Amino acid sequence: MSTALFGLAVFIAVLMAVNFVVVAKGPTMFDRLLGIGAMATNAVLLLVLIGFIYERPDGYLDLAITYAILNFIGVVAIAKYQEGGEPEPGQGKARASGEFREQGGSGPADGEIP
Amino acid sequence: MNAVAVVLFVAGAFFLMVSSVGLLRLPDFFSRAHAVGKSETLGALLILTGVAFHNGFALESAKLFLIVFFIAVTNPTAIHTLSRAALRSGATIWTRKGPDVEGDEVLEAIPGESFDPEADGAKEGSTT
Repeated sequence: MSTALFGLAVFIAVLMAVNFVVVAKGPTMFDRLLGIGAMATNAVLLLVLIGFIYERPDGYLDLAITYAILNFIGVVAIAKYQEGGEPEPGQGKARASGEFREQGGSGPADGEIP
Repeated sequence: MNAVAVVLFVAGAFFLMVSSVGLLRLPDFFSRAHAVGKSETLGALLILTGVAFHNGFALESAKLFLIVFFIAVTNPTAIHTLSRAALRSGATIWTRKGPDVEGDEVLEAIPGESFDPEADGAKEGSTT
């Protein structure tokens, strides 16, 4: 039965390589971030499977929980940092990124180094 | 118990493969987010549940179901936040230009590839 787990781990590693192709060639930054999120979800599964293949799942499950939490925090933090443009209807024009883009020489979405 | 685990493994691997193919092949950011946000979550949940069935009733199953709950809550939330950030950054939705456009021409025909809201506004102002 461990061969089934090993084959599944190899298959997930191949899918991570496919997602890395998208990360490498994605036309925009959001596509790359989406591919990174998919790769991190596959990495959580791969950590769980490696823990059960080598029959030592305690530490690997803790690592998987930690990596899932870090994946969520990282993706949400970068998304909220890059979020700009139109303000919400109820909030006027008090959005932080819009003000940052109007004031500062280069906004975070412009891709320029000030 | 092993039969249930194998069925869950095969179903989860199928959904993960659908997610990766959709991420590689779909033309737009929003359609790619649609492919990843649902299929990847379902595949991960199926594979983790299959590992729990393969392991049996133990403390590791509790940790596995903790990971299942956390991924089921946070993965669609993260992709929703990413899609909202892309929409507010000026991403436009892909529409098919004509019936004879196919292949790489469709990929070149995506409006708003640079996600620059000022360029899109200038383009709309010039056209209208």
